[in-house]
Amino acid sequence: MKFNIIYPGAFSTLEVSLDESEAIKAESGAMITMSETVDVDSKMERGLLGGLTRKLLTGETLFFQTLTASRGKGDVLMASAYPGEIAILELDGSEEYILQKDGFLAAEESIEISTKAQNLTKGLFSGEGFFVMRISGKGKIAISTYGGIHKISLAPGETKIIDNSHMVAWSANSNYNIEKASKGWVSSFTSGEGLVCRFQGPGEVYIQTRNSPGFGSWVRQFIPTR
Amino acid sequence: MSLEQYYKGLYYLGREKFSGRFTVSAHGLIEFDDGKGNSENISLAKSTLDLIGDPETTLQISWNNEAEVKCSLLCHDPAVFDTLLACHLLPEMQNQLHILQNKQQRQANREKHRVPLYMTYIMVFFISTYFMYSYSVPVVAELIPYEWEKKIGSFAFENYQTGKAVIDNSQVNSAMDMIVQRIDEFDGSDISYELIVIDADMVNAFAFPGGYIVVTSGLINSAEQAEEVAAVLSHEITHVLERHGMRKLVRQAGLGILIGIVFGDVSALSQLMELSSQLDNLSFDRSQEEHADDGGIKIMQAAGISPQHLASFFKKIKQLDSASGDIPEIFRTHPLTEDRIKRVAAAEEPRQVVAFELDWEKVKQGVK
Repeated sequence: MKFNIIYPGAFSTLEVSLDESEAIKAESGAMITMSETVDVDSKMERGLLGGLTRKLLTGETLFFQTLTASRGKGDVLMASAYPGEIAILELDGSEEYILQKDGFLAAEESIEISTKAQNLTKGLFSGEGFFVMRISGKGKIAISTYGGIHKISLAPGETKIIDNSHMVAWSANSNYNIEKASKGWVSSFTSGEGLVCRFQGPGEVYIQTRNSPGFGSWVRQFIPTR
Repeated sequence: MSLEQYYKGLYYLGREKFSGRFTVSAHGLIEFDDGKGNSENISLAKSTLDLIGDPETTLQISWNNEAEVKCSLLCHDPAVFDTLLACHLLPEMQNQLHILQNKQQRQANREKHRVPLYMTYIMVFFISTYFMYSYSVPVVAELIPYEWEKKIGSFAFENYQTGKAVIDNSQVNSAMDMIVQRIDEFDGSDISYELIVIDADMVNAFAFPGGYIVVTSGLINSAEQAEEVAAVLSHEITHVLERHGMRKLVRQAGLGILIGIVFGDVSALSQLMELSSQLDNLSFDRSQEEHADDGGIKIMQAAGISPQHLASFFKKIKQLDSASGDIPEIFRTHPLTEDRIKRVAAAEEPRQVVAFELDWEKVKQGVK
C-alpha cells in the first residue's frame, strides 16, 4: 500500500495505491475517484456502540468507508471537505497519537481508532472539545488540516506554546496544559490570544497554520445582513 | 545475567527519535537497540523516572548524556514495572517504582472509564435539567408579583374580547354580578373579579390570571339554575387563586424567561404578555383539575351552594357530549373523567343552602 500526496498546498489530495485484497478506511465522503477494482463499503468502526459514541461525542461520522481492492490492484483519490494540507503519519505500534475531531482522512485497516475523553479544562478551553480520537496500532494514517501543516518535534522536557484550535494531532506521550497567554488575565485577552496550550515533550505535535473558527469569524464580517 | 525480556521502547536523543526494543539486566542496566545499528546502554541508577502522556501511563526514564543532551526512554507496557522491580536497585528507587506502578494502574483504570463516565454525566445533566425545569415552574410562578399577573390577565382578557360579541343585558349582568359577589365573599382572597358574557353557542367558561372571567351564552343556556353557573365559576376561580394559568404560562415561556422572572427582569413581563394570547386554549393537567374541583367545592360549601350542582352539570355535559359526539369547549381544556364526577358528587353539603333569588328563565331570555 502506498500513500502519496498530490497537489500539495491548499488543495492537497491523497492518492492511495492498493494491491489486491488490501483495504483502507476513510472518513465517509472523502473518496473522489477510484479504480473499478475497488469496492466501497461502509463500516461502523468498533461496532454500533463505538460508532454511536464517535458520532455523538466527536461529531465524526457514524460510518467510516472501507475501500477494498477486491478484484486486483487499484488507486483511490481522497480529500477532505476543507482546503488545507495532508500529512502522513507512520505508526509502528510504539506510540499512540491523539487526533482532533476533524483531522482524520484515511488510514490502513490495521490502525485502530477510538474515542478519548479529555479532562474538563482541556475540554472547555483547548478548542478541540471534550472528545477527541485516539489512534493506535501499526500502519499509515493520513491527517488533514485546515491551512498548512507544521510538525513540531519536542525533546524530553522541552515545551512549546500553541494557540488553542491549532492542534491537529499530537503524540499521546506529550501532555499539554491550558494556561493564559500572558501573565495577567487582562493582557491575555486583549492580546487576542486568550488561552493557549503548553505542550511538554518528548513527542511530536502537528499543528495547522490556520484555524477554522478564526476564519469563520473573519468571513462573517463580509456576509451582508438582511 | 539478562532477563531476556524485550520491551518496545521509544528512545529520544534530544529531538531525534528512535523506535526499537530494550532489555533490562539484573543490575538495572538497560540495553536499547533500534535494529538499525543504533544502540544505547542506560544505567537506571543515573536516571530519573516519571510518568508522562495523556493519560499519564507512559514510563519515562530520563538522563543527560555526556554532551548534556536530554535523553529519555519511553515505554507504555505496564509489565516493565515488574521487570524493573525484580532488579537489584536502591531501596529509594524501588520505592519510587512502586509508587509509579500504582499511579499507572490508577490512571489506566480512570482512562478506561472516562468515556462511559462522561456519557453518564451528559445524560444525568439532561435528565436533571428536565426535572429541575418541571419542578421549578410552580416555584417560579409563585415568584411572579400579583401586579404582573393582573397586567398579564387584563391584557389577555382585552385581547380575547376583540372581535367577539359581548352581551350587555341588565338582567344578565345583574345575575352574573350576584353570582360573582357571592363567590367573592367566600373565596378567602382579596382578588376582585371582572366578568363578561360573550355571545357564543359553545358551552364554556374560563378565567384569566388576575381574576378576569369569561362565560359563554351557551353555558348560561345549558344551565338549569343559577347555582350551576356558580358551581362552574367556583371551579374556574380556584384556577386563578391557585395560579394554574400562570404556571402554564411559565411552562410555555421557556428557560430564558424563567431566569428573567427569578431576577425580576421586567422584559420577562412583556414576553409573558405576548404568550398570554394562548391562555384560553392551554389545558390544565389532571391534578390541577382535581385541585380546582376541591377548591371549588370549598367555596361552594362556604357560600351555601350545593356541590351537587357541579356534579349534575358535569353529568349533563357528559350526556350532551355522548349524544352529539362533540366534546364541549369547556372540557377540551378541562378533561372530564368519571372519577372527577364521582369525587364531586361525594362532596359534603353546605350547612345551610342559600338559593340565589333570581328568575333564571328570564336571565336565559336575556342571552338569547
